[in-house]
Amino acid sequence: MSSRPLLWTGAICVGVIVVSALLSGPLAPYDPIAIAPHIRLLGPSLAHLLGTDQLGRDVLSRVLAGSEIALNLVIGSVAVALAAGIILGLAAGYGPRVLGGAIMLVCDSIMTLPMMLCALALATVIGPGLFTVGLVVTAFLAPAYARIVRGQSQVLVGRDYVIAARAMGAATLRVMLRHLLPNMAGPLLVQVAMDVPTVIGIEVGMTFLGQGAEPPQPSWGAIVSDGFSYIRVAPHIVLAGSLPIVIATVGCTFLAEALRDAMDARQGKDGLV
Amino acid sequence: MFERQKAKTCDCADVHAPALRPGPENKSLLLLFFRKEGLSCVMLIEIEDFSVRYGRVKAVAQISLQIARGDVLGILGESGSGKSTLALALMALLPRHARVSGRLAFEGLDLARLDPAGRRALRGRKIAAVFQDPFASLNPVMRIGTQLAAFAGATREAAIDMLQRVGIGEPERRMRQYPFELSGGLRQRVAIAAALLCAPTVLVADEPTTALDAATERQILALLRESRALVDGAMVIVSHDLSVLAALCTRIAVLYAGEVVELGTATDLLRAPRHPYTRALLACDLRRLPKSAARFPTIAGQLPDPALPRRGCVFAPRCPVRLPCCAEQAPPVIAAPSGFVRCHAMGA
Amino acid sequence: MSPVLQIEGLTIRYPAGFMRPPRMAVCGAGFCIARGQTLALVGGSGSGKTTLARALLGLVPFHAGILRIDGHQPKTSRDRAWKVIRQETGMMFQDPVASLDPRMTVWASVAEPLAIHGGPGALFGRARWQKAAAMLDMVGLPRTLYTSRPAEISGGQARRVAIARALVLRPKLVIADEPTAGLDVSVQGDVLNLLVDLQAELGLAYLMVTHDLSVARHMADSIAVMQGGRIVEQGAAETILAAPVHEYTRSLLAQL
Repeated sequence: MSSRPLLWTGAICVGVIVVSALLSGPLAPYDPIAIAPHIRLLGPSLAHLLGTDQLGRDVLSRVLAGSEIALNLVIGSVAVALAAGIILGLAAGYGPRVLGGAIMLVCDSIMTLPMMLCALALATVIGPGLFTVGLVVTAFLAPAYARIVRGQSQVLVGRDYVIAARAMGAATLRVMLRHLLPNMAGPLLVQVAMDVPTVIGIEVGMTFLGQGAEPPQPSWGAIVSDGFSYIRVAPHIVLAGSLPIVIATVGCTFLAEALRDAMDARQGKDGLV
Repeated sequence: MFERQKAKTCDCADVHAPALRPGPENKSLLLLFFRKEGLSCVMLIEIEDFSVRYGRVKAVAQISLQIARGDVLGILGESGSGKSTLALALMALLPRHARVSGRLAFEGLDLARLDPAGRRALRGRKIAAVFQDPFASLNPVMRIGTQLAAFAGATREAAIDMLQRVGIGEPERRMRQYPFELSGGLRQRVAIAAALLCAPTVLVADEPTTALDAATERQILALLRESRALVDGAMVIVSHDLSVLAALCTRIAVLYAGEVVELGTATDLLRAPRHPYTRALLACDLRRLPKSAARFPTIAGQLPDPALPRRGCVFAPRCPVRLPCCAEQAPPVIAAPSGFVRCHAMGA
Repeated sequence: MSPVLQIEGLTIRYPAGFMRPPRMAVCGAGFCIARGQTLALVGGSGSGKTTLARALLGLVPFHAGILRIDGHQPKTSRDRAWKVIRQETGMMFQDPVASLDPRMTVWASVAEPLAIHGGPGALFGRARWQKAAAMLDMVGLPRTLYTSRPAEISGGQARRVAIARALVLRPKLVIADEPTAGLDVSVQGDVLNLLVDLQAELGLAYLMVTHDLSVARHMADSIAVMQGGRIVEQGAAETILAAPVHEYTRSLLAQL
């Protein structure tokens, strides 16, 4: 299958990130926030595989700690966004049409807002920090999920097996949980996989603008942001901070593509000459 | 086997005579006429020892048939008989991964070995197709008129004329409509009109009435009957319904598990079927079954695994008149008045 | 004995569109089916027969008329009577593979009605699976296929699963939408024999919706012919087949 190399590359990349996040404590050679000004801005060496930053902190340890922060952020915000999106989407797709129209209007409006500006505005109101980043992410991902869930439930509601379930006397909740959700998991998962790089990107962007992670939190965005000021003197900091972002983005995108291929293959496409 | 077939199935009455379209009722006269004149037959499609494999699965197994001008050949088969694959092969639409052996020649050109460009040149010009699902064969986002004009490069007037000929009232209004605005029966008429517009030499119809209800089916069958005059060549109708084929075809080939087990005229097949499979199929037909029948008849057993090599007669495991030799030797081709039958039990 | 199904003057309207006058899908339909009997509802596409069949289970609301199934008479679309009716009625759809949830195993699909109508203290867990397995056994599905998904079984096998699911709650009425659609001629006899046997064994009433009069000829005790949303002719099967009155019925018979 042509998607196999795609699947393996994606899985390995994501796997590396996840493992480094889960084991960031034991794996990190040094304390990520321990300051040691006497060894600042050292290039990569055997003692410090990715060098040190402007405060003498080991960059590798910071990158590993950043994985943990990224993983927590992704899981937390995507989970909440999914939950909200599913509830809103099911209500819109399966409930009365007026309610559906209203929900979609709200979702579409949120999706039209310029994300970074709103993020900065939100940060001004409730203060900067990773929690704010999480809030922004959830607010912008949930409408997209609601859209998918609503579209899929409108399609699935006409399928014979859903009608059969209703004919058997299944209550609305049962139809939603047992028949609708499992059958729309595919497109949803693909969207989630595509969104993970977006989440990371939002965090990096907000931290760069000073509204995201607060020092000394070693998020990837913080590493890149700090290293940016020293890019002429010590370019290894920015490179080290960008490396995991690239791996995570490539991994998630490839996984999403492989998932989409698998879903298409199940529907059976045949090439005719 | 091939020689025997050529002698038996090539009725010279099937030669295209410009002034007279041969139908079953004219056959005996023409037979005398052409035999006297000693004219040779013109075979439009020649299928010799033709097999199609998808991986290890053999969909069509060594079929040999000939279709002459003016012939309307019916291919009778159930699911798994290979009829759809054969229909695709005749339409030059076999998928890329199909492995072909043997020969399927249209006007002398081997269709299966033609390059994609060559096949594309034939489709829509010399070979036209009508499919089972009328919605799937029309582009849902183009108006009928646009589609007909694009197909075979017909002019608007020719398209309107053809719509009228296939029995669609108010053809100008229909030209402006989209496929979803038409009923299944109307869509199938449009599909037939599109196929006839390119003045094809061969019209292949794969289950043309299966998706339609009984009343519409009758109308489409009548339309296909009239279309026989419009096709200057041959027609091939594929169906699982013997009554559909009996209404349209001059000869019918019965397919089982990728092989032709019997070939004959519709009347011969219906009145005196020779092959045990054909007989069993007719017995299962609800229309023929007397009301007093206690149980509904079926054919016990299942189709053989198409990936396994064949030995002996392919129908033997399910055959009610199975002989010991049927499992070992392939059945011989025994000539019948209008075709042949492949069966050990038919000997002498 | 009171009939299992009785409808009188049933009228169903198509949902009204924007600035479109309401049209009738079914107008003034009335018939009844007694226990152990089969009624064939015959008509072409667009005759309203499928809409009528769906209305009997409350899947489509009806706007006028009386509907009584096994004594229960629902008046609105939210009537509590529907839950009981859906327990007492089984439905088989035209495309059996599509009527099964593609993500559920065949066993789970057959067990689902038991789970829905189980209720507190009734069947749950193991007993439910055993009942479902017994039903699958009754329709003749090989044991090896119990854990298959709908995409992995043939059309004929899927039809058996659909029959098992429709009958697992021992309903009084079974609505069969085109029971032989898509089946090869050589295997349709199996399904029809099974339906006849189950009717005799369980005392079921069948409402068979079909466009094929040959099926009705063999299976039905009474026939109702529908055209354009109205029942144009109905009565005992022998009478209708021997001496049809309406021209539409005659045209259908002519194809036989």
